[in-house]
Amino acid sequence: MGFFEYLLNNRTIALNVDATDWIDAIRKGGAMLTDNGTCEQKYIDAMINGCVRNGPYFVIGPGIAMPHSRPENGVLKAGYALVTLKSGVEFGDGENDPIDVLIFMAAKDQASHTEEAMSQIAEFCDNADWLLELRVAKDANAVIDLLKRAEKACVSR
Amino acid sequence: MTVTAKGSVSSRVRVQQFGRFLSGMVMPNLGAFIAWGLITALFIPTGWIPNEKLSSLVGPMITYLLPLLIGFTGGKMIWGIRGGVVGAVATMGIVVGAGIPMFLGAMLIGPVAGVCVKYFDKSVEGKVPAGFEMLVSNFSAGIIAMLLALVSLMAIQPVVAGLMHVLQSSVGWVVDHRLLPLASLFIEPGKILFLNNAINHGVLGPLGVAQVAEHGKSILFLLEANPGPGLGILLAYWLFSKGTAKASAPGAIIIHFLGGIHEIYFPYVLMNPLLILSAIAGGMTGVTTFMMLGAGEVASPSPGSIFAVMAVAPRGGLLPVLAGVAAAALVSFLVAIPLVKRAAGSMKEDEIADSLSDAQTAMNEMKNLGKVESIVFACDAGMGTSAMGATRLRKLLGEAGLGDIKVTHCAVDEVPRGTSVAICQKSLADRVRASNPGTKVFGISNLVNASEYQGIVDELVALRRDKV
Repeated sequence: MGFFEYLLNNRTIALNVDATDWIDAIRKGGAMLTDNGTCEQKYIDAMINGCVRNGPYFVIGPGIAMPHSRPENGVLKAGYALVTLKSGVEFGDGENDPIDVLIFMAAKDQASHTEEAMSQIAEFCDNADWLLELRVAKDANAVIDLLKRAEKACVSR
Repeated sequence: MTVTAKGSVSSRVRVQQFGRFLSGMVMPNLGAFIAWGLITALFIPTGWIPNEKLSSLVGPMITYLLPLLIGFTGGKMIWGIRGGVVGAVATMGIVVGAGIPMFLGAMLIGPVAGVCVKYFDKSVEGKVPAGFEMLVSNFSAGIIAMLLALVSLMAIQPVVAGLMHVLQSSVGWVVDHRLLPLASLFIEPGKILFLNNAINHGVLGPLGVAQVAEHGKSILFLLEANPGPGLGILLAYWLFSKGTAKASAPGAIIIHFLGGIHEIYFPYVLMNPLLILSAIAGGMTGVTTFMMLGAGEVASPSPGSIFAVMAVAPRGGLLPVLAGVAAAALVSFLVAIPLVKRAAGSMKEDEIADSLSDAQTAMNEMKNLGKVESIVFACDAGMGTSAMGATRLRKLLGEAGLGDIKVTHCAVDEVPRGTSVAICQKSLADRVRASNPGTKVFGISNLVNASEYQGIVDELVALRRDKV
C-alpha cells in the first residue's frame, strides 16, 4: 500500500499538534501508530533512542522529519502517519530546524511497496506548494483533499 | 572545481613534516606516560607512598608498554592499524633485545614496520586470487612482523652496547680531565636514551662514592640527578605550547620535579629533538654553578626529585645545590622557549595546512572517482531513507547519462567493502566513514530535494569528463 493510500484509508493524520520538544513530538505523533496496531510502544522508543545515539538522522529536509527505526524494534505491520506541529521543534539539525512536519514510518521489510511509499514521500516533500498547503491546512478534510490530489499527481509522473 | 597542481615540497616543509611526524608518534600516548610517571612517583621504594605490589607495574610499563605504544602509533601513522600492529611486533624485538627502555628505538622501528607492510600491500594489490585476500593479508602481516622482530632483536643489542660503551668512556674522560660541564654533552642525550643508569653505575657512582670518602661530598652525584634542565623544558611547554603537550605539562612537572621521575620529560624532548640543546645548556649551566659554588651531595639523590636533592645535601651546602638547580632550570627554560614556540606555531600552520591538504586529498580522491561503478546509499535500517535516496539518485544519474553507475541501498553497518562512494544523511556520515575508511562519503542534509543529489551527480559527470 502506498503512502497516500495508507493515510487516506487509515486517517493517521494529526494537525497543529502542541509539542514541547522533539521527544514530545515523536511520542504524540507516534501514538497514532501504536493505537492502530502498526507498531509497539518500543518502536517509538527506538526512534527516540536512535536519534539520541546517532543525531537527528531522520531529518530529511527543511522543517521535515521522517521518524522511523528498524523493523525488528517493534513493527507489527507497515504504516505511516502525518503530523504537523503548531510550532516547530528543534531536532538538533542546524540546517533543517525547526521541524514542524513529521511523517512517521513503520516498515516491515525491504519489499517494493516500501520503495514506492518512499518515493511518494520524497515527491510530496519536494513540492513547496503542497507543503505550504499542508502547513496552513485548517482541518483534516483539507489535508485529505490535498493528499488525493498529490496521489493523482504522483501516479501520473 | 579546479584541481591545483601539486607544488614542490620545500625543505622547510619537510622539516616541519618530520617534526609533526615525531610529535604525532608521542603525543597521543602522553596519557600513558603520565600514568606511568604517577605510579612510579607514588609507589617505588623511594616514592611518596611505597607499595611493593603496586610498584610492580613500573618496570613492565616502561620497558614494554610505553615503547610498544610508540611503535604501534608510528606504524599506524604510516599504514593504519595494520601498520601499527606490525610496528608493535617489530618494537618488541628492539625492547627485548636492548634490555633497557627503548623509546628512540620504537620511534625508528615503528614507522619502518609501517613502510614495510605498506610497500608489500601496494606491490600485491590486485594480484591476489579471489577468496585469498584474508589469508594473504594476515599471513603477510605476520611474516613481515616476525622478520622485523627477529632482525631488531639481533641488531639492536650490539648498537646499545656500543652506545653505552661510548658514553661511559666519554664521561669518564671528561671527569678525568676536570672538564665537568662538558659531561652534560653526553649525559643529557644519554638520559633520553635511558643510558643514564649505565653512566651512573658505570662511571659516576663509583667515582662519587670515592670522593665522598675523601671530601665528604661529591659533585658527581648532581650531574645526572639535577632536575633543573627537565623542569625548564616542561615549563616552556606549559607556557608556550599548545594542545595536549601544553595541557599535560603541569602534571609532568609534578611527576618530574616533585616526584623525581625524570623519564617523564623524555617524550617531550623526543617530540622536538632540538630540545636536547636546552637540556644540555641547562645541564652545563648547572654543573658550572655547582663547580663555582663548591656544591656536592653526600649520596646519590634517588629519585631525582627536588626533595631528595635537598635531603642529601651536606650540612651548610644546601644553597649551592639549590642555586645550581635554579640556574639550570632558568637556562634550559630560556633556550627551550623559541624551540617550543616554533613547534607550537607550526601546529597552527599545521591546522591550516591540514585543512588545505585535506581539501587537496579530497580533490585527488575525487579524481579517482572518475572510475566509479557503483554508489551505495546508506541509512540506519537500510530500507527507508536509503531507498528514497537511491531511487532519486538513480533517476538523476540516468538523466545525466551516467545510468551505467549502479545505485544500491543498504544499512550503515552493511556497506559492502570496497565501495568507492557512499551517500547518507549527514548525521550518519561519521559512522559510515568510521567503518569504511577507503570510501568517499557524502553526507547530505536534504534527502527530498534534488539539489544536493544533483551536486553530487554534477561532480561525477565532471570527473568522468576530465578523466577522458
